[in-house]
Amino acid sequence: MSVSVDAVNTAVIVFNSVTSFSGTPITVTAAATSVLAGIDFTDATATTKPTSVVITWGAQTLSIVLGADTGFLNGASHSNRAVLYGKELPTIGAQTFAGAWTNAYSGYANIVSWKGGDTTTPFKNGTATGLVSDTAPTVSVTSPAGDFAAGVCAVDSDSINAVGQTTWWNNATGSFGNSFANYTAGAGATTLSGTLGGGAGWTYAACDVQVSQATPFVPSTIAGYVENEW
Amino acid sequence: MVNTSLTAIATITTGVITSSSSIPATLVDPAVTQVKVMWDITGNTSASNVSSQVRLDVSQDNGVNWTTLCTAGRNKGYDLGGGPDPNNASIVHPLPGVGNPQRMIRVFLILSAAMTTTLTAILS
Repeated sequence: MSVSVDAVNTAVIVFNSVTSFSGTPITVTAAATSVLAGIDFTDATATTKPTSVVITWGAQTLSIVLGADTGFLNGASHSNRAVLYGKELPTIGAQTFAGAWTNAYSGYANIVSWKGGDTTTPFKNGTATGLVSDTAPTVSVTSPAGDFAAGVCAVDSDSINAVGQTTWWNNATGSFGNSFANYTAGAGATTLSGTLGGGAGWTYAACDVQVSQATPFVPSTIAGYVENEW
Repeated sequence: MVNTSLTAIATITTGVITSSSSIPATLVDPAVTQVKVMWDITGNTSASNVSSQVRLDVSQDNGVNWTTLCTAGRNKGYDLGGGPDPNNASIVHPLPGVGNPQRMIRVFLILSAAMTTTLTAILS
């Protein structure tokens, strides 16, 4: 058993100067075990930061994956935050993916569903890196074989020359910073990475998508007792 | 008329919009992959304090059936900031049904009070 992608859309939602957004980027199937939302908040440094952020899938509210939140960090031009939200047992179908917060802000948002994952602890080993001012954003996630590692990188202002592993999204059309996200099959200490055109700064939030931990059924015997048909 | 890519398909006449207005149902080029809805916020300062909400609907059957694709908005006025486009709020969303010649969109802007604005949808 291993984790795999259930539904994904590489076209990210881009929002500018709003306190809410909603969209319908994916259709979750009956096989899905969890959804993971990646949010990249990026705006002018002086803009008042959003608070009381609520991310939802249909009627379900997602929670921040513990550790997978960089908080707001100022790069050369913008204030950026990369954060992951997750939820087990997502509602099936093309539900509304939405976010709301105080104080108008800009950024990117997307959601992916997984199958074969654990439904008690779907995400773990959350990590956040930044602000780092080089051209090679990278984050290491403890993600064993059978799991997946996924992350979102908030790029302050540089071009995104390449996205490593499998691209979740790659977009530079927002009014402020640029953004990419990616995922890959777990391999122990698993690296997610990209390549930028400059060193204005980046932040990276990532986590492990854990394979199902359910114990498979094993027939048991009772010593000294043999059940017979008659 | 089928709208081609990278074209502002409709713009509400700039002026005072009293409560709500819309971009009427418009046929979309089958090749279009995303839509950007943008509205001018310079007429909505903190002093005017108008809430604004846009909603984009999509139809895959020439306007017979509609579903809401995306929304975005703000619950009060703006302290206009910096950045490359401080005068507009916007949302970009992938447009499903690529290749479908019967695809249409429509856009609504709902305001809590009158304000001067321009609503634009851009396809690409």
